[in-house]
Amino acid sequence: MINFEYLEPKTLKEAVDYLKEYGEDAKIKASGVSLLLLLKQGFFTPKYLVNILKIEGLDYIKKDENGNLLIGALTRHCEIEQSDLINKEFYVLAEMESDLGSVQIRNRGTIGGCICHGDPLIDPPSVLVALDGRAKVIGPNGYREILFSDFFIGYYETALMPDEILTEIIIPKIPVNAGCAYIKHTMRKAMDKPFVGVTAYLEVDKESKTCKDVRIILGAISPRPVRAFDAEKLLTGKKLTPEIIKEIFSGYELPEMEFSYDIRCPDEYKKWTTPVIMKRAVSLAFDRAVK
Amino acid sequence: MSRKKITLNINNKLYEMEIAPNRILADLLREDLGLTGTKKSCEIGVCGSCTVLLDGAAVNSCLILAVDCEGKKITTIEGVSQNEKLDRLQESFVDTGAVQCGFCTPGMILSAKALLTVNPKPTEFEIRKAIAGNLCRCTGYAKIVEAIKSASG
Repeated sequence: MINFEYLEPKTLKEAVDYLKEYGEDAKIKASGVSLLLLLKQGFFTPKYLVNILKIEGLDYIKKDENGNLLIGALTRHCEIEQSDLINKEFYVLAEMESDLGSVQIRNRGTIGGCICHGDPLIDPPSVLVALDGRAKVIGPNGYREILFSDFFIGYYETALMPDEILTEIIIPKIPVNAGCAYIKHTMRKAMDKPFVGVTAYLEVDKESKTCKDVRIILGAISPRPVRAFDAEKLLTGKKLTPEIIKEIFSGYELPEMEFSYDIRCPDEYKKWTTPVIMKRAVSLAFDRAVK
Repeated sequence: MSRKKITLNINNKLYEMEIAPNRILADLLREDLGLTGTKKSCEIGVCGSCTVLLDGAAVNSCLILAVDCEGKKITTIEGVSQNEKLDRLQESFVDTGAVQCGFCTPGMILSAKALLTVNPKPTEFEIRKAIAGNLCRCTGYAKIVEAIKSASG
């Protein structure tokens, strides 16, 4: 295990000051379940570890006055998985969390730490992008917001600057006539990272039940989440039936993309399975939207 | 690297220690305190053999800095039996034959203990989900699930 100085700020301002002072030599640490993997193996050797676990007020799940969901960056996976509010109004987040890692990982790991780590082979990014979420971050010049569609950049790389800290995840209210689903494909049945994780968001017209706002996001398959615009176009304006969904996705070819390096799964297999997972996610999201 | 003074509550006993901040909880338990019931195998949070309870919740002690555990209650397999008497779960693992090589057993029992504390009558699905983060390479899990089931309720 590498050596480091352990800094324990009590406020966000103190934490940002450390980052400003030490620059690339410092690294933020939340629970550490992701970061310690890299430190133990010596892939990454920061001189200063800035522990933000002692900063109060970053662990919450609540709604703002407009019904948008606000999740504090230090909220643990298990809290999202078990939250009544999320299970009722933002259930796709709970659906994703219920199968993320193991119980042990969910009990300890935070959502903020997980997404800032920037490993592409994780579950949350496609859901956060599909729900049109935003990251609220603080830096030396105060707060700014980043759309999750711009947040995930590549292998262990996010849009966060070295002196910025994620403080909150903001998810817009999901209308009652929208349905969402997250389905992932893994090698093992439990406790596995996705080859591909698909989130489907379908908003249907209240009267005609046709799809009007569609977002299909493919996670893990590429170093950053990929939006399947062509599939969205094929679904928009249609009242979906099992036959129509089958027709759209049999013979569907994935958009051009760079595939993630994944020792468990060749690219050909991803090309073959992903349309099947997309079909299942779309069917489930549509059923939920019209219910 | 500046060392940190901390007090840890492990199995209801307080330990005052001065440790390096990079000390991993699993190493502190095994090497500094001789609590070798906690096993280390993959050391990357996959196998679950290092599982301990932190304030009652199962966690991987290989992915936790010991300095972060101040003020929390840590339970290791050594703290599961009371006054030399095995816990119901431990009895059940022995009686059912859920222990083969035994390496995964401490972690399995702690994951099961955390489950039964919040859900005293779990279904088989709930049991399997609760131990999904504990790998056993001997048993095929059938006897382990049976042991947890018979210790519940």
